[in-house]
Amino acid sequence: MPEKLTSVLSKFYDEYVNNTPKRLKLVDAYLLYIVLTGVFQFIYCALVGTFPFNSFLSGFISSVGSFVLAVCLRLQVNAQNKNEFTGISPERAFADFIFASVILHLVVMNFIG
Amino acid sequence: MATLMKVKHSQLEVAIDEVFNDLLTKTPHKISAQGDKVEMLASALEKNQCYIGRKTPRKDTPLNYLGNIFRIIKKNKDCRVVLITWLQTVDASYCAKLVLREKIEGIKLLKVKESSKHEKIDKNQAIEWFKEICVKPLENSEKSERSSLFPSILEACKQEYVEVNDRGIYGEDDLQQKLKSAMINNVLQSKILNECLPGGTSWKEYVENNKVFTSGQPFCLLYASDILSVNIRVLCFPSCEEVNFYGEKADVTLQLGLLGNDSFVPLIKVTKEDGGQIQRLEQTISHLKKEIKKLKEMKVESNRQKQSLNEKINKAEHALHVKEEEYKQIIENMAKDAQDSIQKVAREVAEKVTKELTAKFAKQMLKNMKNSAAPWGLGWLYRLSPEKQDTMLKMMVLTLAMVLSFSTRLFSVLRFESVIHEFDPYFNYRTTRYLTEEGFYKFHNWFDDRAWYPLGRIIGGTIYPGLMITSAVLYHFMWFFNFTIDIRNVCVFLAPLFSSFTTLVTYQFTKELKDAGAGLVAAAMISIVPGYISRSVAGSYDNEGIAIFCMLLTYTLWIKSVKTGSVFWSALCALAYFYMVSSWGGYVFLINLIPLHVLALMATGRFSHRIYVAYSTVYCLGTILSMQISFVGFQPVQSSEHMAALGVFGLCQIHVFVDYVRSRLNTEQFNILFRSMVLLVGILGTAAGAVATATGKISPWTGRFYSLLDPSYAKNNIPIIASVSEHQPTSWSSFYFDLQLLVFLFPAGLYFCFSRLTDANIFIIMYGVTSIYFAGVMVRLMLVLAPVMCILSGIGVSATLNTYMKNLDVKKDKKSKRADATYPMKNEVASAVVFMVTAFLITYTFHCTWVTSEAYSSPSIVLSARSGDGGRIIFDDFREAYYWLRQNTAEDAKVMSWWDYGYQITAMANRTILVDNNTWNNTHISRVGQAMASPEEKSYEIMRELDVNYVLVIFGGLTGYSSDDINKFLWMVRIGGSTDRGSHIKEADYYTPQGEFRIDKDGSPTLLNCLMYKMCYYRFGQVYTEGGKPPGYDRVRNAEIGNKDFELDVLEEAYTSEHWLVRIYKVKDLDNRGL
Repeated sequence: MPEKLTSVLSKFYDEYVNNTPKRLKLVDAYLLYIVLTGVFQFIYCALVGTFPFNSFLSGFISSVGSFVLAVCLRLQVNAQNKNEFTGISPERAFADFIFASVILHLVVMNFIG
Repeated sequence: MATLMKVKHSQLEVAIDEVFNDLLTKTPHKISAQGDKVEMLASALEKNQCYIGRKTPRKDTPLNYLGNIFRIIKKNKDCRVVLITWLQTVDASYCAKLVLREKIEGIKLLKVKESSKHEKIDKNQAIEWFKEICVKPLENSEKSERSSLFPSILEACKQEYVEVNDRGIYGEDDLQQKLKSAMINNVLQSKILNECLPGGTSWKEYVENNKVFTSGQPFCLLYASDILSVNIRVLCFPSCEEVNFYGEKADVTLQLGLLGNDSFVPLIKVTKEDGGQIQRLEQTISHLKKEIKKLKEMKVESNRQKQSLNEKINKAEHALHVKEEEYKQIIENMAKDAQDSIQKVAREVAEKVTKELTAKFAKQMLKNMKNSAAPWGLGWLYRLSPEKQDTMLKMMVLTLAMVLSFSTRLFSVLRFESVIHEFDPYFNYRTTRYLTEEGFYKFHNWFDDRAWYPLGRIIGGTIYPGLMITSAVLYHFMWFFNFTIDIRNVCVFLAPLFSSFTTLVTYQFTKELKDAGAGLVAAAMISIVPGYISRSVAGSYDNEGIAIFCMLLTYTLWIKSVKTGSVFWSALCALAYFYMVSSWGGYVFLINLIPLHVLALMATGRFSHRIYVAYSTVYCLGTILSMQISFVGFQPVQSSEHMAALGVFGLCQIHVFVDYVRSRLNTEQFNILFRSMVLLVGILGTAAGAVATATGKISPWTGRFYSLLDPSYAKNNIPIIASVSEHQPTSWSSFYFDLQLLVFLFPAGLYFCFSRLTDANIFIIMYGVTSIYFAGVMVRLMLVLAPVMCILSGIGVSATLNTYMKNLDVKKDKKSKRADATYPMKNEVASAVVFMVTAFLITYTFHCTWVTSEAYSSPSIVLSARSGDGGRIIFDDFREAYYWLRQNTAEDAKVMSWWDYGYQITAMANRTILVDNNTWNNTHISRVGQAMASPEEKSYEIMRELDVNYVLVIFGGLTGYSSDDINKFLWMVRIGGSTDRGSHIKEADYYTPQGEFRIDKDGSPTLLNCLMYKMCYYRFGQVYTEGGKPPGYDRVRNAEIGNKDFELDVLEEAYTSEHWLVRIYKVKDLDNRGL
């Protein structure tokens, strides 16, 4: 089982490296960065405590929100999903992404205290 | 004659005109039937004339004919489009699949990938592609291979480009057969096909070299079209020869016309007889020409016979002239006929369109009638274009619905005055006034020391500020434009205003779900539905008034984002959700319904990336936005009501990730990965859940939530919640009272939603089903149910009318009646249904208006009753008493009353009170209850402890006002006895031994001596209330009071209002010890 698992994972990795457009890889890099930020915040709060809770929350939700928005962007930009998102060009998707991010971060700034 | 014009599809009529102008003005066709065909053709085409070689009709004649047409088009750079339909041999659909082009240079091909999606490809691409599939294999293979082209084309057919079976060719054998025969018969001169040939050879050469086929037409092009899967739009005018071609011998009728997107409009029909006549004339003409030629030759040979021959020539020429005239005449007649038929067709189409529009119009008028809108001035409406009429009507219906929804809520203003109603609105009014006067920051940090003495209340952090901010914004907006409106009027008219907006949003929402028709019906319905009016009449200045608008707005945007999968709409949805959160605690319903919808979509396998985008965005933005409301605070991440949303959010992430991984791996690999992931996530999740519960991060289920799930929970456990009348379970009669017709139409709407299930419909179904449950639990939540009832009923009514309006036969057409034997009485049934629906809708309107006027338009701060002679008596005791308090008591006096009147006293009397409608502190209310329920001495202790100066009670015994403090008294006892300090108060003590609650002589002594009883009935024993009854007769309880003559020891009567509705007592100071 473990060898199989590792082989599957390596296959998956190869598949990813070979068959993903560069644009999506860029988004993925951003996603990875956000995940790391989120994990770091979580570890920090687990070690030090959540006080002040609103600051922690706004930081963490900022990570989650950015992550989710970036995933949305990635889905909409991906050429394979073209049929699902009729009428949303990559440019439109990016503009939407910025719009939602601006809202998110305005609120985060208000909430962070 | 053979002028071939470009026909732009969208400009059909213009094109027809053009064709006929050309047809009538340009030089007639020249006949050239002899000599080298190709040369003749070339020269004819150079002169912008058309040539068609004459052929003996054969079995494949029409196809050959087609080939000719192609050749013409190929050669003639100016001719654009051709359309032919052979009724007998080649059907219209087959023709529709023929290849064509606008010009030979600018060929436009449509590649058909799937049966319905068209994609343009340019010429070069098409050529490249055709080369690839047809030629490349040829170059590699042996040249002598006879049919090497076929396999490659067949190969192409198997590829994704072509759907062979859809195109009338069944199977490979069939295709091969057809192709073979095509190749045999064709001289393939198509430019495209030529380019496909190897090394500059022509098709003819190619065919000869390969010893395949020798003669025929460019038939292959026909099939190339099939393979290229191209649609054509063609218009053709035949030359006389073409017509002749279908003469006596050819056993066909030629029908020419315009091929539209989906229909063929015949313009001219050439029958055998026409063809024969033309043929005969033509033969005569050519014969005469030959003769002239012969005679001319003879003339050259023999000058002697010149004279006579000249005569003969003249004669013959004259004959020719006559015949040619005749010939011209026929052609012109045909052209005229065609023109006439075009005009006729145009007229018919116009008539048909008008008829359809009239039917549509009539339908909408019906909806209009429901809003009692008279359809006046239709004349100018008809003059508008159909689209404009449509928009105009929609706007009219919507405007009427909006006006109606505003005006129907004004009953109370008309009957009484512009005044705030009931209890909670007074608090909202007071806070709004504070907000407008002091500004937002002061409002946000407002600590109110006038309520909950001595505790006070942090108002800024314990209310939903949406309502106040909305009216403050409106107020400042009006003032900015110099409309000096009073803030009280803004508050009074806010709810009707927002219900107008709700009407608009409902229309939009229903339109998203079904169509505009249903939207209009739903909008009209929601404008007058009593379930909603009950909470939004003018003066009912409460959160619900704007919350329903916010809720529907959020739903609309949610549906929009689900449909488009756009982040933009989702972000707007989150903002609408924020507005909703800021205005009503009922947002919890919304944040559970949306995840429920997503969950249902997942369960039914409809989850897509669109849903992911919509939900993730809405949840993330919505959660952090909702936390900006200080009353909500951290609840969205802590309390159990919000956990469902969080869970579904997590599930979404997992679902999408799993989908992504699955798309990248094969099944076996995926299974391995999936199993190990599930194991890992399961362990982590359980651990995290355990830790969170242990550390108390997940707060316990709150009472209100339990009472939603279990109707009896609140009644058994929390008396303060159960005591509020609007928290009672709904009775069936009130469903009918509040919704009337909608109760029956609701299932119909559900049926129509189920019959055509979409992502959006699932949402409305979930909304309907859950809200009907919650409305059954609490009367208050009827408000949430009303909109969905209207929407589903709108869908139901609209779908029903759509079905039957079609069957309504306006003209008495007996033929069609007889023809439809399977559906007898079609027209009658349709009329009956339409009539019935109309009648129902009319009764609905009357019912709604009646309910609004009778039940929901009393402000309850001012009461009215009918006097014996039918006149109206107004009881304005509440305000009278409150103003007395305001004017005659010390500024810092503390007033004790039951919590119901708290808000009104602070707002109108401006005095400090102990408890109010906020009911946040149960023990404090309980203490007041104890004071009311205890005997005087005990009460005095409590009142001293609470530093009370005045006590206010509501007493209806004199006027018959039934919701007074004696009737509420049992709740005071229950709530008073529910805490430790009130353990001496037992509910059973207040009943008679038989278990009755009586205030007459048989009543329990505890009741007859408690403070509340004494305050209410002080001096009442001497008053005659009704004729024929003893003094002290209580008109509410219909009993003579049991304890008449008593004096108050610790209180003294300070004020009693005109009708004794409000009685105020002053608490005496402690006895002076010196005495």
